[in-house]
Amino acid sequence: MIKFIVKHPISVFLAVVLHIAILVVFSVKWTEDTEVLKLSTQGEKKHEIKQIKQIEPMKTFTVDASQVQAQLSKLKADQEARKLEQQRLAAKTDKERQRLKELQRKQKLEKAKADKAAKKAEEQKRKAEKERKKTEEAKRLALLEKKKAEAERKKAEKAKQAALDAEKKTKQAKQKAAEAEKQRLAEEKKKKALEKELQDKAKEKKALEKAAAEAKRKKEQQDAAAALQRQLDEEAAEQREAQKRKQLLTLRETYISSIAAKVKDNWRTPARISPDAQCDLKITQSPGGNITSVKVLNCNKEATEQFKKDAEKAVYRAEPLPAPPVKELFERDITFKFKP
Amino acid sequence: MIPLNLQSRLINKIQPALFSLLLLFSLPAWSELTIEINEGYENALPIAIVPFGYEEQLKTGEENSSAKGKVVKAPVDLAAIISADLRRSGHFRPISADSMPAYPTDIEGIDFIDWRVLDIDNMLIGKVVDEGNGLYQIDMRFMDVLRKNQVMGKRWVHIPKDKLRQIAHQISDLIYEELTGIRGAFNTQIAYVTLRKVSGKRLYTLEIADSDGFNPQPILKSRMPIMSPSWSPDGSKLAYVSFESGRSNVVVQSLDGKYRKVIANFKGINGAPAWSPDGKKMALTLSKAGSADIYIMDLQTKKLRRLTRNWSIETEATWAANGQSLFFNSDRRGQPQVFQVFLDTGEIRRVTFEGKYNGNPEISPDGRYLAVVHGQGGFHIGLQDLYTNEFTVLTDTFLDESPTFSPNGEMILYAMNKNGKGVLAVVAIDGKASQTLKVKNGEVREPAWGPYLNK
Amino acid sequence: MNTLHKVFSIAAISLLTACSSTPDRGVNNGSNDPDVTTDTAPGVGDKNESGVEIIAANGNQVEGKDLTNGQSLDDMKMVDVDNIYPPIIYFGYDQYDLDDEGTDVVRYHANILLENSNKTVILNGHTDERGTPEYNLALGERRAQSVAQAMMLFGVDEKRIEIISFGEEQPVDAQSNESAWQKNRRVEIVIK
Repeated sequence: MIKFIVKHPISVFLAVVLHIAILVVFSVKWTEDTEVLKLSTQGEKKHEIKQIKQIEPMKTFTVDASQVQAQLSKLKADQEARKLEQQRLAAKTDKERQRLKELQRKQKLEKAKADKAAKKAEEQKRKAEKERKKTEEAKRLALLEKKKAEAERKKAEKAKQAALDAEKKTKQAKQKAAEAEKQRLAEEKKKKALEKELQDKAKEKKALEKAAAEAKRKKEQQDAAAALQRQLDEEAAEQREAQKRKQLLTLRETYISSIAAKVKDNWRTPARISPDAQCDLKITQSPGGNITSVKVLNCNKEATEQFKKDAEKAVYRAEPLPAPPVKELFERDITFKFKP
Repeated sequence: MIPLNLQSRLINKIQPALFSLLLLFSLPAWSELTIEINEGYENALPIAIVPFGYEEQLKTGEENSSAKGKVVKAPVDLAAIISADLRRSGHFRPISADSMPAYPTDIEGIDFIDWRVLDIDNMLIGKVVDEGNGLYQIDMRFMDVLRKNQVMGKRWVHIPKDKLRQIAHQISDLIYEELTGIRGAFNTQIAYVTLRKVSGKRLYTLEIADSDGFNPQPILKSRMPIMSPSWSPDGSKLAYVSFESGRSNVVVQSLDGKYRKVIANFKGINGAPAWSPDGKKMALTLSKAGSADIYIMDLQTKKLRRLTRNWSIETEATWAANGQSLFFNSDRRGQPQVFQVFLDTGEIRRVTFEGKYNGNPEISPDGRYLAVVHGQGGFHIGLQDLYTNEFTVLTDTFLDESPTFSPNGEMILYAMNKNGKGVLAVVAIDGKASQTLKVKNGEVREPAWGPYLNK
Repeated sequence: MNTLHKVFSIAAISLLTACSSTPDRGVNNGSNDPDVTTDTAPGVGDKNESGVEIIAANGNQVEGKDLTNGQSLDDMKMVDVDNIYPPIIYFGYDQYDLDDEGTDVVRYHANILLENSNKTVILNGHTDERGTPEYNLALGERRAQSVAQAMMLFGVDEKRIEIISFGEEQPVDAQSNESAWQKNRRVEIVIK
C-alpha cells in the first residue's frame, strides 16, 4: 500500500482531497424552522330566510248541487201551483198525472247521470293533460339545468304561471258551460211546467191526500238523489287534492335529484376513493342557490376523510344549486345520498 | 487513476483499508437527470401555482434606494419546482403562469372569481424574502378558491439558497397530502448507478439525487461494477455491491462519507444487500457454501444466519414491512419465482405463480404490494396485490428491472432500456402515470428510492 | 507479452471464424460495436497477460466423451491435437450446462494447467443483460462453477481454481440484441 502511494502520489493526493471535499459537502447540515401562519377565515355570509308560501287549495265547483237546489225550489212552486189548480180546476185522472211525473223524474235522473259522465271525462282529460305537462316540465328542467340559475328560475316561474293560467282558463270555461247548461235546463223545465199546468187544468181534481203522499215520496227521492250527488262531488274533490299533492311530491323529488345530479357532475378528486364510498350530504342554501353550509353525515365504511372533504368540495363547485321548478318547492335544507 | 495491474494484484487479498482511498477520480461536471413525462391521468385536477413574489428586506439609506426599480427575481423559481412535482404525480394539471389572470402574493390580492372561472379549486401563493447573508424567508399560503379561504399557511426562515429547492419539495408534499390524503414523497432522494465511457473505459458512479433528478451528487466512482444500492431505513447510509476489489463485496457507506466499510467479502458472491426495517440487520446473498443463498447479518455482531439451503439460486431478498419475513427470488422450481421465508419458523412458501420468471421482489411500504421483474416474452414490472393475489403488469417498456417503491407507495421507480441505453422510469402503482429520467452522456440503472427525509 | 496476447487472439479468431459455427467468437475484437472496441473486460485483459502463453498441445491424447453424462475420468481421452481453443465458453439463455464444444475448451485449458503446475486459473462467469442483475450475478457464478467442476474432473486441483462472477455487468457487446446476448453469456478462462 505504501508502495502504491509512493508510486502514485498524485492520484493518492487527489483521492484524499476529494474525500475531504465530499466530507465537507455532506457534513453541512441545516435546520429548518417552520412556522404555521394563522389566518382568520373569511366570515360566513348572512343568509336570508324566506318564509315558504302556503300552497293555496284548489277551488272546487258544486255545479250539480246548485242544480238540485234550483230543482227543489222549482218543485215547491209546482206544488203551490198545483194546490191552486186543485181549487180552480176539476181533478184529472191520477193515472195521467202519475205517468207525467214519472216521465219527468226519469228525465231528470238521466240528465244527472249524463252530467256526471261528462264531468268524469273532463276530469280524465285534465288528468292526462297534467301528466303530459308534468313530463314536459321535467324535460325542460333538465335542459334548463345547464343554463344560468337566474334565467332558469324566471323561466320556470313563467312556465308555471302559464300552466296555472291555462288551467284557470280551462276551469272558467268549464264553469261557464256548466252555468249555461243549468240555465237551459231550468228554462226547459219551466216550459214543461207550463205545459203540465195546462194539462193539469184539463185534468180532474183527485184526492188531496194522494197528491200530498205523492209529493212526500218524491221529496224523499229527491233528497236521496241530492245526498248521493253530494257524496260523489266530495269524492271527486278529494281525488283532485290527492292528485295535486302527488304531483307536488314528484316535482320536489325532481328538484332534489337535480341538485344531487349537479353535485355529482362536479365531483372530482385526485385521491384514490373506493367506488362504494357513500355519505348523506345535508346542504343549507339560500334562495339564490348559494351554499350556506354543507354537512357530511351517515357515511359508510368506505368513505374516508378525504372522500368527505372532496364530497363537500363537489357541493361548493356546484354552486349555485339549481332553482326549484315552482317557488313553493324551495327548501333551505336539502339532504340526499351521495355516491359519486 | 489506479493502474489496472494493481487491481489484479489486489484480487486475492482484499484490504478494506484501501477502500477509503480507492476510486475517487476527478471527473467533468455532473449532468442532471432529465425527466420526460409520458402519461398522466385523464382527469388530472387543475391547480394554480402562482409564481412566488420576491422581496428584499428593507435596508437603510442608500442601499434601499439603489434597489428601487430593479427587477429582481428569487434565486430559485419555487413555483416552477412545485408545479413540476405535482404534474409528475399524474394527479394534477398546474396551469401555466401565462394563463393566470394575476400573480397575487398575498390574500388581499386574490380576486377569487377570476380563478373560479378558470376551473381552479385551489391555488398556491407565496413569496421569498431575502433576509441578507444568503438566507431567505419563504411564505406560502394554500387557498381554497371555492370557499374563498386559506387551507394552510406556512413560513420558513433562515433558509440558505441551496436548500430552497428542498423547501419547494416540502410545499409540494403538503399540497399533495392535503388534496389526496396521502403523504407526498417529493422531498425524498433516489440513489442509482450511472455508467459512462471515459476515454473508452467504463466508469461506474453511485449517485444520489433529489426525487426530481436534480442535485445529483456522486458518492462513489469506480472502474469496476457497482450494483444494488439499498438505503438504510433512516436514509443516512447506503449498502451496495462493489467490484472494486475485482469481485463482488457488500459495502456500507454513510452519505456524509464519514463511514465506509466492507461488511461481506466471503468466498464466492457477496450481493443483494437489503436493510431490515429496524436498520439492525442486513439480508445478503452469499455463495460461500457453494451456491447463492439468503443470509441475515446482524450488523452489530456481524453474526450470520443462513435462511436457505438449496443448491438452486436464492437471492434478491427483501424484507416484509413488519420485518418478520423476507421475500426472495429462487429458481428451485427451474425458473426464478418469488418465495417467502418466515423468520420465526423458517417456513418457506411460494408467492408468485404468474408467468415463467418473477424476480427481484420489492415490498410496498404498507406491505400490501409486491413488485417483481416479470419475464414473459420480455421483462416488465409486475405488481401483485398480496391481499387479493391479483397480478398486474405495470409496464410495457423494454428490459424493465430493479423496481423500487416511493416511500408513500404510490409510485415505482425502475430501470429500463431505451434505444439501447439504460434509463430510469417512474410508474404509478395503478399504471396510469409514467415518466422517464435519463442522463445525457451515459446510462443510468439500479435505482433505489430513499425513505422520507424528515419525521 | 501484450504482443503475444494479440498474436494469440488473432490466431484464435481466424481459426474460429474458419471452423466454428455459432456463436461469433470475435469477442475480444468487438469491431461491430464501436463503444466497446477498446474495452476488454477490466480486470480480465491484463490478467490474461500473465496467463496467456502459447503452449503447444502435446501429443498424449485420449479420446474425449461427453462430460455431462457423468463418465469417469479413466476413459477420457483428448482429441483435436491441433486445435487451439480460445479461453471462452458460451452458454444458452439461462443455462449453465457445458455443451460438447464447451467441454473441449475446458479440457484444452485443463491440460495447460496440468502441464504447468505453477499456474492457477480464474474463471470469470458472465450473463447477458436479461433478467435481474443479482440473479445474473448468481447465474454467472454457476456457469463458472460448471467450468470449475469440469476442470476438476480433468484433474485440476480445486485449490488452483478461482471463481468470480460479474453477472451482467461486463458485456463484451453492449447492444441489446440476440447476437450480443449470445456473446455475453460466457465464462472466461484466465490462466496465470
